Amino acid sequence: MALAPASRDSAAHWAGTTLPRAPALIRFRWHYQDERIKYAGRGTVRIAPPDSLRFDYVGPLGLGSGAAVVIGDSVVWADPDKDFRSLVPAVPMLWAAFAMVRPPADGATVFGTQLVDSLRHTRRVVWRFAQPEDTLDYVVTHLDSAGHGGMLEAEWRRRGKMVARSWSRLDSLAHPASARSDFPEVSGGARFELTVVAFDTAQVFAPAVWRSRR
Amino acid sequence: MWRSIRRKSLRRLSGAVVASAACLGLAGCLYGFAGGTLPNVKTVAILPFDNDTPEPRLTAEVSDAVRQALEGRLGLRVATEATADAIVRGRVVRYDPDVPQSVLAGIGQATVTKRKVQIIVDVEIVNQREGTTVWKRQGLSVDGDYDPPAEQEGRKLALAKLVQQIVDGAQSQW
Repeated sequence: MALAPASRDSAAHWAGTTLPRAPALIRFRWHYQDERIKYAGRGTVRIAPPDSLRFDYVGPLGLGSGAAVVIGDSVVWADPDKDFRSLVPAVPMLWAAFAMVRPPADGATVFGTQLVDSLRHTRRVVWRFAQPEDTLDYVVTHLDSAGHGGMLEAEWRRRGKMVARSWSRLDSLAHPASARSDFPEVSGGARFELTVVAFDTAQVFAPAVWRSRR
Repeated sequence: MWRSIRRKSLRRLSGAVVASAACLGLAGCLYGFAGGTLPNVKTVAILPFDNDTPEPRLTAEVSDAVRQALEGRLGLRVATEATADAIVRGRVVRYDPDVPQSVLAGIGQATVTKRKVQIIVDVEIVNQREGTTVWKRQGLSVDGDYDPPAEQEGRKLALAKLVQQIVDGAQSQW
């Protein structure tokens, strides 16, 4: 598939359309496994567009919990830090798991194309944000006329080697419904899966949510 | 004479025993009809509390306190969300870890010798079979004193109070 150079502004605009318009709280169940461990639990993610996210998770039977605040592509704080890094090895993929895309970095070269499947009446949009070391590819399959089949696929390569890949399915309102992220280089291959339980846009976030205690 | 007194006492005693047994039996029946601690609720699913505070560990610690209250103290069985009679959900609204309690005055400075943690939570128990709220408390505030810097001790006390408050609140539904 040939990608043509595209404007950074149009990519940033498209990335903005993947975000919720108002603050949103997403409840989900998650499952993580690598060659050593297997965990499952529940979590919530609070999104304050355009760039802030708080991720809370609880382990099986409520054992162990943690949280992290991400602004853009940076982890502002994570507590416990080690658990979060193990659960979420790559921040852009965390956004992608919730079917949201960060705009291309300042120095990124942007490519894009659009594919239309007239038989299935679906449209796919492909974006590539390339930097000297990191390349992020996004493929969006838009919902069909019946409101099905929406998906965001993301792939992150570093120096040409795949670091992570994710598939995020959308519901009929184009909200994230479920996702799977694979990290082939983490502990012999790690997988993080989530299933959205609720998408709530009526939440008001307390300022303390973003603060760190440490 | 002595025999007649003894016989009377025995008769009175056996009458008391029968009356007590009848009372116990009746109480047992009433307890049975009530269906346990909360009306028509025998199993509960505890959903992780939303955490509005910067202390992530509270999510698990508060869930654990709620589990202790419901399972350990009220005798309800914890079940999955899909099968439970009721769900417990809530939010940790606020966490103040170092509210000064007692201060030792000194020259040019004061030393806080005792502090307390304060936790404020919203809790709701919903009977999901009937779609009714069985018990709800908003702004439930618990605290625990500690000698600085043993904040964890204050937190333990506060969570123990939370267990007690939930037990008391649920029992008020009898």
